[in-house]
Amino acid sequence: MRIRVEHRTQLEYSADVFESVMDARLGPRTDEHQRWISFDLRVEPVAAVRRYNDGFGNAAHLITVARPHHAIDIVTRGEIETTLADPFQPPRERPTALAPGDIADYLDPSPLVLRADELAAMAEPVRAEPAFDAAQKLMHLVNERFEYRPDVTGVETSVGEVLTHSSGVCQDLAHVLIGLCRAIGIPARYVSGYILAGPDRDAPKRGAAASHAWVEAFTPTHGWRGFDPTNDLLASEHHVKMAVGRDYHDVPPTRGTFRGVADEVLAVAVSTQAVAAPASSGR
Amino acid sequence: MTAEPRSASVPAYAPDGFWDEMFEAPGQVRTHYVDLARRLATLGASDVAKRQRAAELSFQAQGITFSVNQDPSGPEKTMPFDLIPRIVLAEEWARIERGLEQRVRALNLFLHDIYHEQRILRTDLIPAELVLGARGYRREFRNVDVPRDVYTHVVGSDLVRDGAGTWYVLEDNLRVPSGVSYLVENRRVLKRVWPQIFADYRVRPVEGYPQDLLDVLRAVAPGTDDPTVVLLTPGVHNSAFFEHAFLAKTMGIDLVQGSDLFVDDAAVYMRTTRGRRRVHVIYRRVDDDFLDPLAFRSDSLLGVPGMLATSRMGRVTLANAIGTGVADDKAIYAYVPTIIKYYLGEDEILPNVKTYIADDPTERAYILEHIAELVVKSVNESGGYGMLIGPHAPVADHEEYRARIQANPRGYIAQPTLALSRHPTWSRDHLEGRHVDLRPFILFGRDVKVTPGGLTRVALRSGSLVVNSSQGGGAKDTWVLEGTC
Amino acid sequence: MLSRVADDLYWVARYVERGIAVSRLVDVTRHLELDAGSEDFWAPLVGAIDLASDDVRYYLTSDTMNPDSLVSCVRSARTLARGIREAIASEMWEELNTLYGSLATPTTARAVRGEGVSFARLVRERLQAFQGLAEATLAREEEWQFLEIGKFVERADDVARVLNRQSHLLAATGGSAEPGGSDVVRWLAVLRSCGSAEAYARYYSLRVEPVRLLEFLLLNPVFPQSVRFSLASACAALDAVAALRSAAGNDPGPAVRTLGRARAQVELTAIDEVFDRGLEPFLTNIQVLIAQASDELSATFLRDEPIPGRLVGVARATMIMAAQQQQQ
Repeated sequence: MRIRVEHRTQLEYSADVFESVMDARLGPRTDEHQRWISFDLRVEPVAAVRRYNDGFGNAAHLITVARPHHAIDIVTRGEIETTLADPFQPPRERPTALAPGDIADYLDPSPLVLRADELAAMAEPVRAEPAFDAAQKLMHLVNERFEYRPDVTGVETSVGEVLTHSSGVCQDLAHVLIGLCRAIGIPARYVSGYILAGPDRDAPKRGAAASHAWVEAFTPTHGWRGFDPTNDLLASEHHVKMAVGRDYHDVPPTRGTFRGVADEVLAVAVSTQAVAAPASSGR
Repeated sequence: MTAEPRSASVPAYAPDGFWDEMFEAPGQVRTHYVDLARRLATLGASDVAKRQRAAELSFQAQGITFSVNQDPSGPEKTMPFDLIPRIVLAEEWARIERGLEQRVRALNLFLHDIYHEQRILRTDLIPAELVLGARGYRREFRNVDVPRDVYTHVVGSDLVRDGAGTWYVLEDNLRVPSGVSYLVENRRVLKRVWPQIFADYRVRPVEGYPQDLLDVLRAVAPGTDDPTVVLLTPGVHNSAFFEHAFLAKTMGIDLVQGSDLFVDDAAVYMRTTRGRRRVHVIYRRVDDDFLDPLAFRSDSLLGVPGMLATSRMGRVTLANAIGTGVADDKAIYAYVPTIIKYYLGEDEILPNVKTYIADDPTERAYILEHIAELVVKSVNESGGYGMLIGPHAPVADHEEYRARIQANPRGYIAQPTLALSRHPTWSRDHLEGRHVDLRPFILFGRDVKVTPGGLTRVALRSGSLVVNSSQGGGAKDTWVLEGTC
Repeated sequence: MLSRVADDLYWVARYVERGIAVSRLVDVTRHLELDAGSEDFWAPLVGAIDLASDDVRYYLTSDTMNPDSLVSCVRSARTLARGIREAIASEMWEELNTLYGSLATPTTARAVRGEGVSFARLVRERLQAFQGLAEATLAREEEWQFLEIGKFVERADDVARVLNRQSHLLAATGGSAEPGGSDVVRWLAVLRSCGSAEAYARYYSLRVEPVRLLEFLLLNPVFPQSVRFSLASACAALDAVAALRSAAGNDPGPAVRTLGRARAQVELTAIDEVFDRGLEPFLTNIQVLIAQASDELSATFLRDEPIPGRLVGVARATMIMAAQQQQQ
């Protein structure tokens, strides 16, 4: 499926600030499930933008505005070809085992997903099952037991607090699912990205107006597969990935500092639409 | 130099069964100390005491101080300095140099591997969890091409001698090893208060260290002919501030704090009266955790937002590189001989002290059972903190450490209590034996350079094995003699 | 040179000069105390309204709650100097450090409890030694220039403030009336608090008149304590660093202009005009310009902020932007 995305991040300040430094994880990302065809990042006012790769292999952008300004507007536009039509289908070749570094990253506790007895207890019933089935069951579990509520948690809420409230946004539900997977030995990572909005029955219900978060779990049979606990779906061609990490802390879409004394207001808008692939030129 | 045994003209001095740096046996001075012993004998107690005081005053007047007890707002102390230098023979030093160079090269290859393909972790030579779970492991710095592939530009490895006189490496310090300013100042002060003793010996100079360090820093600059190098300090409240200021001054570079720097267009700049100025190399005495509030601790005011990204892009060089702390971990230290073998295909020239890793169940059991005989150390602490010296500690402390080890086994290692060598040290009005160690400094830029000497640290309290200045230790000048090669 | 170091040098110089000025005030109050009926005069002179004489002495010398007391000035200067030892000669640092150390000793405590004058003299002498060492040992480069700017900005400000506090007294008798005995004592006190009594006498002999006094302390071009001399010296030093900044391609900023405006006031106004306009508004305007120039100086040279004229409140604060919570 071909998907067009526009992601707008707007920051407004109550007074002039200067020396803004922003670190962005807005893509592009190309892997076995998607190919990012075009990517454009623009900033108002004119800013210095440098692209680099972070320690997790994500594309990152360092955006700086030194002179005084009272707003920053970042817009990314992209076109992505997603290729995973059937996530249930195992890949043709048996997946290679994860390297020790990846195992450590995705199995060990991370800044926002710490070990919790409650998670271990919750996941225990499915420990004996094949990993791919277990991951699905855990995803259903999170979807059923946790309520989607946007005003309970914050940017750096850890998984312990989410457990207490039994509610959160997609970021939080993803953290819980990661914690559950890791508790029974399934390497799990956080995916920051987009989900296609759409009227048809199979398209996801939530996540289209802002950036979305779900989980990828690594199983011996299927390799990395996405599990979206907010929508109770396996990630497929409707999901577009921006970046992956241990949890949200590694891959916030934007994170920054500025110098000055001002209040800040953040507004985010995302739009996604499926587009027709260009006609092939005949083969 | 004669080899006559010293008589009672050197005040009766008892090695007490320890390896003594100066005395082969009671009344028998080692050959290379004979001239020094003669000087000591002719001087008399009050003369020595007078020079000792002159040295102390010299340090005080210059304010060569540090903060005690890791309390920066507390009193400043001058480093207690002992007049009697420690002398190392040229041949002995040559071997130490070779061993340290081997070690630093191997550790550097290890770090490069850990932060790239991680080949060693696919073998079973070292538990992957030990490395990847180390507090100093910085996954944020993976897959960066550092200039000249050098991660560890400055290393301070601590050496000790045991009861048989064998040299061991006690630990490696790869994050922000300190003490080199005392090294240079000790020599200067000794020359000033007791120049005569230098007449009998050909001592290799140490004052070239700042220039050597500057050469290293310039050599790793990102492509430019005339790099701007700065020293990043946490500020006046840091216990090692004097050293930061000293090094910056002797190298002729700016001493900066985090707030003096900012990142724009993926380059680091410093604020000057004439406007911004690009910085190419930062000798940073700020720990990784505090370097960049966007990448690491967000509450840090000591760092610079965007520093990590900029250094990933190769647009600024940090010395030492981010992530060297993983090799600072005392549990990793235990594997250094393995590391030397794996990357260099050689046996280690300088041996490690036998180390038990509490993270391993079998070794943990041994530690818990024999804790009264062992020295237990926290894997990430320095300065002599987080350390238990079993034979010297009360039983209550043994129990406390047993509990700590069981609560956090990954956090502790233990080593047998070595009978550290001793050196005659001036105590009030006569010489007494005190335990010493040695911290040489190793620079790595274009090539590896070991400073001829190092800081000989002295445990000033009788019988104490703790040499760290923050815990009341002192220092001696260290002489490496010019050799005939 | 690092902006922070320049900032600290500027403020060290200001605190040192301020300490000298305060020490003179202590002298003056001591002399005035001995005259009956002068409380209504000297208390305002030192800006300590409603305090008894002992309290005033304490306020000026040792009150740590008073940021301008002798003890506070010395402490502030020493604290800043400690962080920039590499920029000043070691003798200069040792001067401040030794003085600071002696503040806590019993001898000093006795001196303060006593008359306070000997303590004030001790402090003044050590601070003047600091200035003397700077003059003798620092090359005339940026370090020296920022010390000069700080010293003279502070001096101009202090003298203007002392004059302003007595403006009602000086203006009332401006020009004509015969001085009364107690008036002369008070005018002499004003001169002494600026260390200028003897110098004045050499110019005008013993005729102490408000007009001449003001002319001397405000407009004299060659007397080092006059506001005009101080502003001219500060401007010269500021021009020197501004030239370096321009040469490096950066705007020197409004501080040069603002300080220049203050200097123009005292260079181009005759003493009659000063009285015509009103002494107090004139002096207040000078002080306002000095304060503004100081802020602009900080913003441009010392904080390297992009728009020098705009003060951004907290110099070194950074704020973490809201990272986007993934909402849906």
